[in-house]
Amino acid sequence: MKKTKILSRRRRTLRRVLISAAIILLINRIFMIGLLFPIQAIRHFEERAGTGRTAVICRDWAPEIHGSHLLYLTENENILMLSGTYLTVYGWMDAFGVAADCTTPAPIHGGRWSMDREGRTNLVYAFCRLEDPEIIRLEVLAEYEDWSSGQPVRQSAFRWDREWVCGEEDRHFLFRKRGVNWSTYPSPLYLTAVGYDIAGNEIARVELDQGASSNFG
Amino acid sequence: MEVLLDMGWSKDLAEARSLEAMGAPAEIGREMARQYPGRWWLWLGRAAVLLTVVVCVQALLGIGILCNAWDSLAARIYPQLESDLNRVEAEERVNLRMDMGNDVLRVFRVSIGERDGQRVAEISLCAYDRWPFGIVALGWQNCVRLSASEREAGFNGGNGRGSYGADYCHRYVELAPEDRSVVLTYSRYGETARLEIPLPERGETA
Repeated sequence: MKKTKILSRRRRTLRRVLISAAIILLINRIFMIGLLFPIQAIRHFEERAGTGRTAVICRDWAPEIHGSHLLYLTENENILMLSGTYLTVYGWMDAFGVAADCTTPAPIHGGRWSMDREGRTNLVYAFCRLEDPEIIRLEVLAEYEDWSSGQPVRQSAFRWDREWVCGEEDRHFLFRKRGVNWSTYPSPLYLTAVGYDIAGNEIARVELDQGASSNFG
Repeated sequence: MEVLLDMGWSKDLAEARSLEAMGAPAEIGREMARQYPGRWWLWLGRAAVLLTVVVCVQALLGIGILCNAWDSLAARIYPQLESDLNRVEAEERVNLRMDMGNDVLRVFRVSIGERDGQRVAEISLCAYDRWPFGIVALGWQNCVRLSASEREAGFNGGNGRGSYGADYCHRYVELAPEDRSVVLTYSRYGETARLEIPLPERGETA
């Protein structure tokens, strides 16, 4: 009589889990879908943006865009990147992003990303990395151009001072503004990061011109 | 039960006696659970199988994504993009490659000819990920510059096409009669690369 080896539950489960992991990883790599974790989608966006591997600084949840929409602020030596991901029937998918080039010398590097869902809910993000150790306070100004006098004059729309999602300790900052109504401004918004030293003097002013606008359906 | 039936017991009685002999179900269940601990292993195994089935269904629904892999393979083996020149003077298929982040930039054809009334070199480029099923980076075209005899071409793109698997484009540079090669430079996120591309001789066509 032929002997049949009966595996224990544990061994049988371990074998199943290993085979499942191998199949899922293969599908992840070949089809680029079925991602089980949001960070895998961020890795896809890194590939798409050509930034190379970045390290996560912090993340934020943007339920206004999708119920599962997550934004990751990541960086490496040359890049500061804000990218998004959300859960779909195909698993976690990347939802674009902005990679700010930090290779040119500047006291502050950063970018901006505005997004809305079907034109209803508007979000504006600004993200910065302080390169100058003298800067101890950061302020981000959002301005629009007023042409009523015939010349463009920058007018304040709103500003961020200490309302960061993450920041302070590691000199990386992520600011968020919810419910921005674009139609109230006569021009696009310009974001400017302003750095102050310990005496309160302005020592750096950088326009955050690396950015994107995304409209999610 | 069959033994009891062979002994002449009635079917109902034999069935009842057999069930009695098997013991109390609850008690047997408890004993079995004590004997074979680790029920969560069972659930973990089932969850793994279920997850695999779900991901396989997703892969089946997304079978069209494999077109990207096909594009990536085509860019490695025989990349093609129609020329945008009005008149071709010389043309040569080449295979010059350089690293570009996680991707590979390939120069696959060099043509000399006329475009918009100027004598130019048309450099046909494609980019693909090192991994055949990988994603090629967006926007690399803006980071590629061509120059010949110290004259740098502007952002001068012709037709192009692309997918997640591979991206194609042309770049042009105006030529002087003495030019024998053009230089392609790539600069992005602190990474730079340089490639000298020899020009084909007049009358040479691929």
